[in-house]
Amino acid sequence: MIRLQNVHKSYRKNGLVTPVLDVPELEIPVAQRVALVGRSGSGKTTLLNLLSGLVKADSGLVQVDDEDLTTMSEAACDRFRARSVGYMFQSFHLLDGFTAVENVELGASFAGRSGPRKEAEQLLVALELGERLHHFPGELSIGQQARVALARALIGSPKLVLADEPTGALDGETANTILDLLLKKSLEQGVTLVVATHDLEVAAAFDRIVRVEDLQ
Amino acid sequence: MRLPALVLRNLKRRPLATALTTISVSLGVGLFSAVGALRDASEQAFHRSAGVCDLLVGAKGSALELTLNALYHVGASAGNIPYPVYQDLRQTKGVKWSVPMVVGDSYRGFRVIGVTDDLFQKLEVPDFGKLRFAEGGGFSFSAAQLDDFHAEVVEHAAALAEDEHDHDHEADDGHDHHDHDLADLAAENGWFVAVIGSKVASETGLKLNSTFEPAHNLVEGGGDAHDEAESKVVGVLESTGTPLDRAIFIPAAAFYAIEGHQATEQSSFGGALDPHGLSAIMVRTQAGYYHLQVRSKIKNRLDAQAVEPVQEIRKLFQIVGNIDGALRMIALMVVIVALTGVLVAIYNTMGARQKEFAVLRALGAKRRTILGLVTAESAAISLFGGVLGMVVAGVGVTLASDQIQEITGVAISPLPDLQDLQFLLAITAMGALAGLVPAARAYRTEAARHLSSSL
Ligand SMILES: Nc1ncnc2c1ncn2[C@@H]1O[C@H](COP(=O)(O)OP(=O)(O)OP(=O)(O)O)[C@@H](O)[C@H]1O
Ligand SMILES: [Mg+2]
Repeated sequence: MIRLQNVHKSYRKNGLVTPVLDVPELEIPVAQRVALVGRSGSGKTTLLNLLSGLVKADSGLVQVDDEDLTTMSEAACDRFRARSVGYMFQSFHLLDGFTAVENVELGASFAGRSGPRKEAEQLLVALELGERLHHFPGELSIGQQARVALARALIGSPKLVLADEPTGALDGETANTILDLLLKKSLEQGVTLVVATHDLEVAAAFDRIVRVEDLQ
Repeated sequence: MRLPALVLRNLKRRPLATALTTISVSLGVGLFSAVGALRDASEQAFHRSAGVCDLLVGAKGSALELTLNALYHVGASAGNIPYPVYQDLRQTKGVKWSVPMVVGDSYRGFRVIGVTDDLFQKLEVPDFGKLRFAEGGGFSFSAAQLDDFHAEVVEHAAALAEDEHDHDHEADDGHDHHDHDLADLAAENGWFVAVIGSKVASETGLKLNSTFEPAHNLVEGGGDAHDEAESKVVGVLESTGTPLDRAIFIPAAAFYAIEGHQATEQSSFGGALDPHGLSAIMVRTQAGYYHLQVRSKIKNRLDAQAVEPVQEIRKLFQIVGNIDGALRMIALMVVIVALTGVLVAIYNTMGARQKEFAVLRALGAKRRTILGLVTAESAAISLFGGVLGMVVAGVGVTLASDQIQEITGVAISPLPDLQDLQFLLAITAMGALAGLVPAARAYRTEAARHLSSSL
């Protein structure tokens, strides 16, 4: 269960304050799959960052599973993110020096649990990357990179999976595959899924569409 | 992936920088531990050589000079001590054994030393034990025999003085006559024999049953050969790794019998009272009270002093210690410069690695974890460099160890000792400290900012 109340976020630079996001009220029940839409610069990524604890709101309540991320210490937020959040970044951000399986493994490396290697392999095999476990990101196609990023978000069975434009860089067919996988896996594991996209067709496949501009 | 694996992987991604910085650290560390190993070896070697006796009795003068001259064959003898000192010493309570030494001859640069057979029976080299023979055996020439022969020598000298006084123009004949008496006596007793050290054997080619003629004068190649004093090698000593390996031992009687030794080794400090004196006496005393008593007894004499060779060598190394301390300081500087190189090399990667840190943070890594990762990279390079340096120094020392053992008799262990491990730990800690500089920058990485930019 995610609950946002009177959340305000602005960036300040050289004394200039740029309001970025205002969310008076937003609730997302457990296991709901939500598409976050809005034009570029509307604050989709910022909202995902707020939900992951990577960015702190200036004011208001950001509550995930009864934990208030706005009042939590940074270290506690890190721990929360390590254990409970899977994040698929805009343009994936796989680490170049690490193989596919290692990249996936890294997704579970900071949660303090053991045996992520095996789970990483299983996830990649399930995503039809069994042959590419030890390839480096530079040796993978964009679609394959997307699947590695997906596996990295899913490893460790997080309760909340965030994805930022997961299909933005992909052609239609590959985009559909990734989207199907994302929706299917989250349904199987009962995770709450929040996906930012500017593609309304993509958004249509979700349980619910939240328009960022409409929140305020 | 566990954090150590992450650190190693990051180092492997920059093979050239990692290799070069590791090697630079290893240079400093290698230098440091090699200097240490060689110093330990030389100090040990010096202490072993000094440890063959616990008192050294010789002419008054510099204690260190006496030690170096008598036990290490360095420099010229400061003079003689009267023969009765030796006789007194043997009667003194607390003296376990004593070996007299008379020097003045050499053979191809190796010192010929007149001794008694107590050298073979009593003397013990630290970590080696009594002298052993590679070939042949020792000669027998006891202290009592030396006493008798010495009395004969003094008598002949007195007679000679009378001859010279009575028949001044016939002095040469008389001289010859008396010398021949002594030489004949020595020859009859079979005292023109020699036991040679291992180094003497290997360098001069002398072996069992070889004969040679020692030359008067300690300088190599200098002096005249005593042709009537041809000595036969009856024993070759095993290598002890001490200056004993570089000595030729003959019965002291043979030394006195050789022409030209009468009234030559005079001391300006009182040894002149006895022209047929001794160069030095090696003494082993009973420990504790007796040792002090023997020492103070000799201290009261005007014509001799007793020094503790081990103490003298210890003092010497306190001086030498400063030199190797300076060498180690230089090595430490090299290490510090190398660690600065590590710092710079890692720091230069920080800009390009902001995204990596941002991703790790987004995956749940704490700032402290990022700090640790970067610090560990620097520490790891330092540790590897340190280990490599010690391995290289160890291999070098191992390769040189045969030679070092031959020269010094000390088997130096290439294995790291506690001090080396402490040093390694210190280097690693210093590396970590250096790593804190780039790590602090990594620590400040704002994850969200670097994630929004693509690639
Ligand atoms: N670190 C930052 N400092 C200052 N301004 C920022 C920062 N990050 C984001 N912004 C601003 O916040 C606004 C919202 O950015 P955000 O990335 O959330 O938009 P978005 O909806 O994800 O856009 P897109 O669809 O293009 O990804 C933008 O106007 C952006 O300029
Ligand atoms: Mg965005």
